[in-house]
Amino acid sequence: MSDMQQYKCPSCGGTVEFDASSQKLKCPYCETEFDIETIEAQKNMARKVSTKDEMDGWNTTMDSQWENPAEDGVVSYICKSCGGEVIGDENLGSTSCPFCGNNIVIQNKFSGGLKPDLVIPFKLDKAQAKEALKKHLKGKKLLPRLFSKENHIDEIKGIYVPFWLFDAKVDGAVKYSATKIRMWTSGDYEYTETSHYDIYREGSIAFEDIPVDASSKMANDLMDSIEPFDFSQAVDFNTAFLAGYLADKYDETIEYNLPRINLRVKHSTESAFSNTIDGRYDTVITDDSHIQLKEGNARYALLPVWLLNTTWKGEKYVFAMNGQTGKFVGNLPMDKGLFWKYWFIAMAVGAPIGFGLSYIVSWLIG
Amino acid sequence: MKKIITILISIMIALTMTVAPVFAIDHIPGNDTVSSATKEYVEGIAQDIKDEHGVEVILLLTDEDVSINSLVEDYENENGLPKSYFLLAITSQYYRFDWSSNIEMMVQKGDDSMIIGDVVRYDNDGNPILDPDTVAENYFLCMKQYFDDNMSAETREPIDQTATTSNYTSTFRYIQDQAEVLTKNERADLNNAFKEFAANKEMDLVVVFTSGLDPSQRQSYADDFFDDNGYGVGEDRDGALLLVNVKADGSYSEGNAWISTSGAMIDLLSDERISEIGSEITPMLVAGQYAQAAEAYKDKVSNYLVATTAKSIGIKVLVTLLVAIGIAFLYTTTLKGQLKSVQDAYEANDYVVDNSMKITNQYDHFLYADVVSVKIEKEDKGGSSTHTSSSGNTHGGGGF
Repeated sequence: MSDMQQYKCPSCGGTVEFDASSQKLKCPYCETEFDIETIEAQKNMARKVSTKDEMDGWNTTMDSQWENPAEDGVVSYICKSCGGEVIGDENLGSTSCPFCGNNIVIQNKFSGGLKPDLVIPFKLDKAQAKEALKKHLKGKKLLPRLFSKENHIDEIKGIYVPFWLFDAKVDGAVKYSATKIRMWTSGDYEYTETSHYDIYREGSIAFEDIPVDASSKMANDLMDSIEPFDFSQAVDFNTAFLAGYLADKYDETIEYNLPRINLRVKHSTESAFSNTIDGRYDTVITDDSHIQLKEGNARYALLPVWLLNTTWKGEKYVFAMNGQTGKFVGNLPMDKGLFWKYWFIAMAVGAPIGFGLSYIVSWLIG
Repeated sequence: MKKIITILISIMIALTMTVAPVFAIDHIPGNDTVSSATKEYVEGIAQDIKDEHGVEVILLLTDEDVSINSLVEDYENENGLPKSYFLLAITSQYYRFDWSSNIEMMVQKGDDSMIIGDVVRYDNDGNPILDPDTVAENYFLCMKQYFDDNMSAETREPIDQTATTSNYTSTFRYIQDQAEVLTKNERADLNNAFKEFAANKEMDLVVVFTSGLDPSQRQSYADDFFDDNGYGVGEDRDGALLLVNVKADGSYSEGNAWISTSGAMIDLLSDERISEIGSEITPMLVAGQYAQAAEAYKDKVSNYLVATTAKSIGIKVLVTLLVAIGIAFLYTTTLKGQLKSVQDAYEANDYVVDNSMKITNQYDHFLYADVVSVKIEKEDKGGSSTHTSSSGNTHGGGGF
């Protein structure tokens, strides 16, 4: 038996045949023609791309343990109400839980665990966090007027939030399908020609210090939103930094966070590779990508976050400020009355503009 | 002595007034002349016009159906025409303006129809009221106003040369029955209806019945008739003229009618709509129902106007609403966006190590192209073909 190769038409999926007259492969179903090289290359690459992502290149073992936390003056506090556990220095005394706001009364001896590799010290203080909240509420037209007026901060806490910092080298192969569209008219007909292209990019890319919060007490989206941190200012961990602040203890492992980090790495690789495709295509869609992680590494870091809790009309609102850069985030409630007020104001402004445009439109369509 | 001088001066003044033939209001066949009181009144006005502007205003009026040209010629043969004059002759069917060449620069296209509109009134049946006293008073007052308004204004543009050549218009401005296929009552009724149309829609609709015209001349005749008689409303001369050319015996055969459009009517009466009008009124014309055909023509144009207006209002309302809603949506969405600052991270672009990306293998392959063709749907309204008439105006139109 000769080596029978079957090729699929990339346009319709039918089995293509060799057309001797044109010396090309031709699809008998949709009559599309291809160069043999094209379809060979496509098939080879498709095989490569269609395999599963290999995301197991992560080193998840950590070895730097607290050697004698008690001697370092580190104690852990457990909230009786919500079970949250925070670490602080022994001089902190009684405090309230940053997660639920209840008083923390039980003070335990800190019982070991991972010692952070890195810490970014707080650069901004409580007063600056309060100021940032004021600024955050300013200029939000749909914010209920009473929210800023009645709003009083229940608690402002400076917390060192545990983060995993991921480094990774990635080998990637990404397939894109792209189109170019050309339109013209001839006689009574308007023609639209869509040219389809098969695009392939293979290469490598490296990531450094992608932070992912390691505490289940912290909302992932909230912590994602205060990114980025400047890791050039990170220093080796020293308990001295904890003085006056709380430190949360990680309770989400590296493995637990891998799916989130893998997705981010994959998306960034796809878009970085797609930037090498020149701009003459009208559409570029990622068809398929294969990402292989190498030399993945995670470090344990404590990053400074100001956490502000407030309650309004029975709802809890949590704001977070990047303790290094001052980036302030937190969703705010909307006043429906104000929404409609601005809706109608915009309608009133838009109507005369629309009326003017309507003359142009009716002139254009005769 | 003083008394004698005063009397002499008075006599001299009286003599110059009566001797100078400033106007010829009483040149009316039959006994239907103006009353002496009116005569005195309009003589005064005519003298004023002559003193101020140097133009003699002449009115020839009869309520009989005599030839308008012979009326003017007879007068000219008998009395001669002064150096500067402005003459209006009116019979029961037609009117005619003449003016001396030295005031030609002043007279604009459309002035004649404006003047006749002020001079000739109509009764309830649409017949012109040719009461000599009223016509004379109206005419001289109107002319006084006209010269006062225009003589000083040197900026007026020169009149089109063709305007004086066919200055031959019936008192029924909108129904020009040169072929005499309509009865007098029909002319009056139709003229009233068309006049109302012009007043309401601000577009002139005109019907001209001619005879003995070669079909090849239809377009130029219709265009020239429209231009020369100053039809059309406004700067763009909005209006449409239906020309129906009948045979010598007054019968009609298909292919002898033409619609000439101008201004806004060019767009309203597309080629397709003109042929629609044609297929509706041709059977009436062939059947000799000329008045019905004229009526149907007007109704058809009215309907198109209503439909087009409704469509354009609909489009305007729709566009206004869509734009207003669109702007409101964009604005409030932006405001809502201000409130949301927390979301999951999708990518890690900030953390790519500088210059770490290396592409080791790549290709861009062309696979195939497909072509989709869509027939361009013609709008139901269609287009309007245009051309330029001998007077340089743009007309649309078509024959049927």
